[in-house]
Amino acid sequence: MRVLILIFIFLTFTSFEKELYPLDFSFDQQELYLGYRQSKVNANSKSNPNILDLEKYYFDLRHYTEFKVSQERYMSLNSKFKSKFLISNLNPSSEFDFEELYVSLSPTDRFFIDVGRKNMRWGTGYAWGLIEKFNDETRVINEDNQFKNIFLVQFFQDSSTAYSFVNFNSNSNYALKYHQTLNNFDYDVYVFNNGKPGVGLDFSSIVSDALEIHFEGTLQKGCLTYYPTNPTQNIFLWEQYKNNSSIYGQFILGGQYTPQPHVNMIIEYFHTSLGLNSEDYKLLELGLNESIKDNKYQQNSVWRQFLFEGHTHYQFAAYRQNYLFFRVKKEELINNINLAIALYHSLDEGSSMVFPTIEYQISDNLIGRGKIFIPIGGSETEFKRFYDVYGLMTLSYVF
Amino acid sequence: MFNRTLLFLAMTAFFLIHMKVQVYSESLDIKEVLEKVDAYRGYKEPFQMDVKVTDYVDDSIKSELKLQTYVKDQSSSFLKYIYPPIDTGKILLMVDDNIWFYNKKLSKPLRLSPRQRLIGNVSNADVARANFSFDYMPKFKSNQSIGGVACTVIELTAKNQKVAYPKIILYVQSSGYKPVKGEFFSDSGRLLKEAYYTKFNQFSDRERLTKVEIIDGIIKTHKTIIEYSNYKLNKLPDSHYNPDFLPRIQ
Repeated sequence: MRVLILIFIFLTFTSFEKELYPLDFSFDQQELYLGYRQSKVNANSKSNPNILDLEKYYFDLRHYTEFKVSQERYMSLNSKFKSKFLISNLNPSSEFDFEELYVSLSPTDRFFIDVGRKNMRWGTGYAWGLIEKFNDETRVINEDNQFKNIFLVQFFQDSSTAYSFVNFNSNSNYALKYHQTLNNFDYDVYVFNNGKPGVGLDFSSIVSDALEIHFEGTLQKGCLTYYPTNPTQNIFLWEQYKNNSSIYGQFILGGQYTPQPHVNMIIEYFHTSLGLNSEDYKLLELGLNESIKDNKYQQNSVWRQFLFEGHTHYQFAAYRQNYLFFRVKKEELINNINLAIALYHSLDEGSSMVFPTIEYQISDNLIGRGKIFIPIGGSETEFKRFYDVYGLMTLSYVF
Repeated sequence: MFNRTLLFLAMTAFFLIHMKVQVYSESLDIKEVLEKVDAYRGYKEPFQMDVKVTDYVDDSIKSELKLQTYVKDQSSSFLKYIYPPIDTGKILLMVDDNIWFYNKKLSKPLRLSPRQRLIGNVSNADVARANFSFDYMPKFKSNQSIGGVACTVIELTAKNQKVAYPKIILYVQSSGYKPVKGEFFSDSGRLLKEAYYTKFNQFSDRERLTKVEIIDGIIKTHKTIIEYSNYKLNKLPDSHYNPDFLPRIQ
């Protein structure tokens, strides 16, 4: 990483013909506010109210600065610098990091090699990303995505066929992708190994001018999901894998419908055999109760509490096995105001997370977003157990 | 009696053959007319142009969008958002009836339906497609005068269900074949919008369309203006028209 930074700085400020290949420069700034109510962070804290050392309100004011520089010729240097200042009544902190920093080589206009830290997304799913094995840390709601160092080779045969190979984290972790577009249908075939070997397929197509459908699915041998095996022990001592020799499947089936030009709906069904089934869930309950009895995490923050309760090892809305996602967006509700209402619903438990979002374009450079997360369901269900009502406000300014 | 029957059959045959030839030649002519209309909106070779879309409500500007547009052929175009700054980095790719949208926040291309709105009264397909011939079958409807200009009225029927408008009525100048007006209809036959092709400028080789005014079918005070400029021949590499390539665009 240090070497890449040095190459980047050196080449950016010295050797490039700046008039022919000007720097592409953008600056994006976001302010984020999160608020939590202590009253019922989760059902378990009720049984032992001292387990959380929380103020009545939890403030989390974050300042992000994103600075992007890239320069294109046969080689481009790309970076996305991110600074984050957290003003909180719990843990004030600041962070500076390169979210992206990679060198891209393009000997021809069809062949590309990227080396470094790069943000990549694959697949056709809107709410979930099953095929992004290089983004295992991705959280749908959490904005702190972790991106790994990658070595990516891509070849575009023509406008309809492409081949990609990515090597990530270590020498043994890789993913191969073959892309093909056929008339109104496009598909990708994947082979991957992120510690567990597997294959994947996705496709998307339009059925009419208003209706789009998509699918994304994987099969893998073995499982990297944490799994409760011994309810009498601390949950962190659980086995990491369910069964290394079994085949686990996941898929998303969804569609997008536009009844009117200003209204867009997305619906997705997600099934994952990596999530907890009813039996697993009972074991988890026992494990959690055992751990709470120990009362050893009393001094930890609300974030720690979330982790403590299992979400360390499960992605948002991938904890159980069957989910629905629905989003409806109405643009231009009133002048320059867009409204979207999204919902994650666990079919296994009947619990949901609803989040209405209002977006207001204040000027050509400035956009404001407000989002409220509302968990609905029983106190022992996934969304109610892990989340309280909370809000999120962002202001994004682009130069 | 025999001669009369023979004469009748011969006349009928002549009439039928003549009618068939008439219909065929009329159909061919109207296709040629549509190609001439399309020629005002671009080149046969790959080209690029700048597109500015301004949305008005009650004569005041509500929003504005600028796109750099590259057209490969009748079925493929590539649009890059260049204004407002908040939208820079977004890309629309249209190949045949497929539209993909790329946004740096999503970091992966997702399909859109052609009907989805781009801005104001304008759908993605309105801006991404620079011709009628690829998506529609033309049929001569009538001759009519629009504002004192003699026009040929052409009915365009969608070749498939995947285009944004099942039916368009197009008014074309009878001499010169400049488009004058378009009426865009929904499945149910409701008038969705009207387009007025109001300005043409002379470029190095010929006259081209530079301004279209689109009026909402119901709220007549809601108007969107599309302006085209900087037409020039330019070819992007084929790889740019591959949806997998979109995340590579800076």
